[in-house]
Amino acid sequence: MTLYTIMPLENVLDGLNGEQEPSQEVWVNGVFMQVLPVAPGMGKIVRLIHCGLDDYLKPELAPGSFVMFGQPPVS
Amino acid sequence: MNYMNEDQPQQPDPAESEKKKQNSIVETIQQLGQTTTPASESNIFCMTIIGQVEGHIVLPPQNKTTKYEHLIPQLVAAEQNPKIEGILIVLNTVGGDVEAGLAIAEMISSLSKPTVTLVLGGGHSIGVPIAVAGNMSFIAATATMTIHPIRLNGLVIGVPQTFEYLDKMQERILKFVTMHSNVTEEKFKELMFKTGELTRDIGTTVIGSDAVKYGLIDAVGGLGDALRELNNRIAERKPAAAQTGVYN
Repeated sequence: MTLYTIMPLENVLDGLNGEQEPSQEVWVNGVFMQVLPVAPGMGKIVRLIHCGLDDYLKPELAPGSFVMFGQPPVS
Repeated sequence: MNYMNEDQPQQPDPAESEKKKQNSIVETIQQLGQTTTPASESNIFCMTIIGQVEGHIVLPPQNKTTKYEHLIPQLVAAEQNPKIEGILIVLNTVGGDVEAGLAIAEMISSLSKPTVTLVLGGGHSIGVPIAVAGNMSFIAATATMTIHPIRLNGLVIGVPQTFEYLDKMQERILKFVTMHSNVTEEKFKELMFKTGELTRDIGTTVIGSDAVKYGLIDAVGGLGDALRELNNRIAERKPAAAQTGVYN
């Protein structure tokens, strides 16, 4: 990897060797994705792993968006 | 004759279904703190390239990143989707991974649909080849672009890199930029290796009209100009597509 950036590298790479937050791979509405759990049943999308081509155009599936996964509570 | 009515599926009460829809929106707001706005159909796809262009290594969380593994299939989808007729690329980036940046730039330059790029704020380092990759490029009057050599940083992650290797990487960027813009190789090299302009580095910061003067960017303009140009190009392309029968 070669970084070509105006940002000082010590700022960009600070914490690179630190512990990565544990991510989880889940299916949400037919899309297999990697998420960072933020609360039970809720996660922030890291990347889409398996999905249709047009799913990449959906803003709600962009990395950084929040998704609900898992079974909804039975009322 | 009553049995016929019994066989028919129950029609949902419109008032009831409307209420359910309302409830689900309220639930979404409660759970996610947001709701999706009604999507309006647009024939333009807007792609934003912000922060660091992230490549093969996930950058630490203090970086705001553009993930190339999402952008690349997005460009494929935009090229393939018949509803999308043009692509606007908005840049405000501080640079990033060379491989990822060049991959995005190559993808943009090889799209068959009209593409217009707009540099707002900054389009630095690896942002430069991305900024020149479209059919037409704009830069806001106050936006800047920093052109500087690639620095040695491989040691940080334990990859031995030689000067020659960096020179080759630089050559790739140089070739791409000179092929896709009006800047000459000599001028670009001169900007890249200029001393006395940047405090921490050698190179040049070009602002708005300077980028146009050097031939790097086609015109100074804002969002209105970029969209007008894109719409013109879409309109120009339509009769040509009608003649050949190829719409994509």
